Amino acid sequence: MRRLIALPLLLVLAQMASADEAAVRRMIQDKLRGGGRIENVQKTPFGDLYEVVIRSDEGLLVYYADGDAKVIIVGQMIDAKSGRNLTEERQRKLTAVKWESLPLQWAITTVRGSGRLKIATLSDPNCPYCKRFEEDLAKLDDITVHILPYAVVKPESVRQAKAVWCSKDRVKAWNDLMFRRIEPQAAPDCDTPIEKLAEFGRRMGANSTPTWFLENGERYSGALPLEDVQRALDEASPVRR
Amino acid sequence: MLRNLALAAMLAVAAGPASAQLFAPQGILEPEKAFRISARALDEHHVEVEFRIAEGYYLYRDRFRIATESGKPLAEVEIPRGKVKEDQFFGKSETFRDLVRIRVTVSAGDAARGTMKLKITSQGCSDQGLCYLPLEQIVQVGLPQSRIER
Repeated sequence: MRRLIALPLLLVLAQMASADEAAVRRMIQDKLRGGGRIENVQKTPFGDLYEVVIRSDEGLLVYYADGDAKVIIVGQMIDAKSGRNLTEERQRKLTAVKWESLPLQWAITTVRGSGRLKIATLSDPNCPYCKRFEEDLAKLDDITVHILPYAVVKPESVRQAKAVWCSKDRVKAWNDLMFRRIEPQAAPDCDTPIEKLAEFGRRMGANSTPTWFLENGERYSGALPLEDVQRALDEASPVRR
Repeated sequence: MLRNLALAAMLAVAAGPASAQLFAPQGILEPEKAFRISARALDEHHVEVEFRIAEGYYLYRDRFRIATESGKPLAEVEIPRGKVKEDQFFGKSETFRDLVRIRVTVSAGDAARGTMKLKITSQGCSDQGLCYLPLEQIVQVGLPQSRIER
């Protein structure tokens, strides 16, 4: 008996939801006035809230609206129980890149242990936080670290990064420079990807360093606390069997 | 403030440097918002460039470059002393938080034109653990055309 009632009720609810979704879409479309376009509208599992993803010149924006399409909410949605920032997680999913599309042939790569955890980071030799970040990464085991030398912060970064690339042992030259401030001795005159990497980073909109990517394509900015980095790495590179 | 801007950008869609959460999902400000620039004429020959720096962000004193729109560096630029930041690794550097005002002397030729554009480069970091690429911004300043002889 209950099942008989439930089915039509579900249908009604579904229709209501889609009617709301259409209303939200119309309202947002109207507000956009041609600038930017709606990428997606979907109901969130919370209350009567809809998530609206807009693609604008400035990238993807995530907003919320109520089902009556009366208000727009601009801000971060935090899971009250876990404290997770759901808006941030959503944006991260939306802006993920394909790991395979990263130019890892231009990376300075270190593998420790099984190398299971994978990270690629745009790093500048004159960015103090890049140094701290790489020091943190050096504490992790079973990791593959791809350093993409992103010589952008200071003019001298370019020469330094090129000299590292032209060194016989790039890993050693980079680490000497980053961790010990020993200038690379090689002449910076070989064929290097430093300019191409600068172009790549700018194309990706990487306007700060370190900017890093995980195997699931998620992108992060800054030297986050090591525990957070570890957790993100574990989630992005799950154990395979 | 960030929210207002983002909303304004979405509703007005006046393009410009506003908004953009795309690459700053951790609540990290875009550099234009972390370091808000403005400029005003002090008198016929002097311009004051001001950076309002968001809390938790800082600018390096030795990374400012002030040039004409075509890129010619201005000779007379007065930057106040910053707070000395000691990095055991990168050495000493002077930084600014909150606010910095830079005084620029304008050439007689530019002053006579009544308006000029300045190309200003700055570079800073966030306490959240990242450093921005140098930011180049162009500001336009109207210069007063005073007839009073001094």
